[in-house]
Amino acid sequence: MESDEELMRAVAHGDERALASLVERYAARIHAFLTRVTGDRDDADDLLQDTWVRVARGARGFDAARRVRPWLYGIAANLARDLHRRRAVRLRAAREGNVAANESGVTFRSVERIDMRERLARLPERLREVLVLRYFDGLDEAEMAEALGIPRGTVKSRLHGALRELRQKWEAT
Amino acid sequence: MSCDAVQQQLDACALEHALAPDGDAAAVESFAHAASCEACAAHLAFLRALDAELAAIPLAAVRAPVVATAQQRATRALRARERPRGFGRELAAALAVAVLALPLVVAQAFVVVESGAWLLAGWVPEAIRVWLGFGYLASFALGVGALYGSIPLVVAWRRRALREWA
Repeated sequence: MESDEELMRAVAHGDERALASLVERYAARIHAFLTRVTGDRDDADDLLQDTWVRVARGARGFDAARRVRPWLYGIAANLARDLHRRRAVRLRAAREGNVAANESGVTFRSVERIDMRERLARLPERLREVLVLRYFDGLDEAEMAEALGIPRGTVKSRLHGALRELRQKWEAT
Repeated sequence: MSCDAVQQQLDACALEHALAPDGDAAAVESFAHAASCEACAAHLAFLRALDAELAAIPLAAVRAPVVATAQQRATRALRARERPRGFGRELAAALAVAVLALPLVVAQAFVVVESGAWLLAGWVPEAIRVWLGFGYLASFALGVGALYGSIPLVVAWRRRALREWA
């Protein structure tokens, strides 16, 4: 079986079958990551498509020395963060009364859906994404640092921060 | 081992789905410590509860049509990255239209400068009028240059968008 990196090199040369293999290999995992981070399956569907479009667009410029897995998760995490930012802006606008009543209802509902089953949902996004990447997707600290574009020390402190926050919430209930 | 170190070790075990006292030496020592330390035992209980809760979160599998659409869109995007055929022809057509419009644009600039000079003639010194005229023409030339320079980019962007969304 070809490695991810070999497939990516083929994609960079326009190989559509290699792209299809990568999609097949990672679509379910990336979708699960996006669902856990965004808390919304429909958003995860959209972001999954955007992720692969970005992969195809960025294939030629892909640095062959990099690993594919953290790169993929990095793209997905960036898209999820953009979505989170847009949601926050819409929510703020709704709170300030700048959005029509029906639209604000949609906004609040979608934010409500971020609620990823209790405590995990209430974690700040930067903590939730490292926890999901580590616990569910099994990325190691180096891969997470590469995916999220942060130092390894920050990954470590965010992981412990996430567990600390979860413990506080756990003790409070 | 301090309680902090033990709890960090237990955190690492939890994140690796290894909350049983049969890992490496540090893990074994941490579990032994937790057996006799109230604070660390509480932390371990929390980690076990968390592990069970996280494992119980239901997750719907990705739907096949979603993957198929993602694949189609990615393939179109990949094709769109290939050297576009007919790009030169499209660019030439866009530039031809732009060049045809150029005399009108220049004439408009000329009219603005002349009218400005005529309006200001009575009450603004000539040096300032010349300076204003040059300033206007320079910024006008820059604007037109940027506009014409962006034509190839716009044509390329349009072609890519059309190919991706076709």
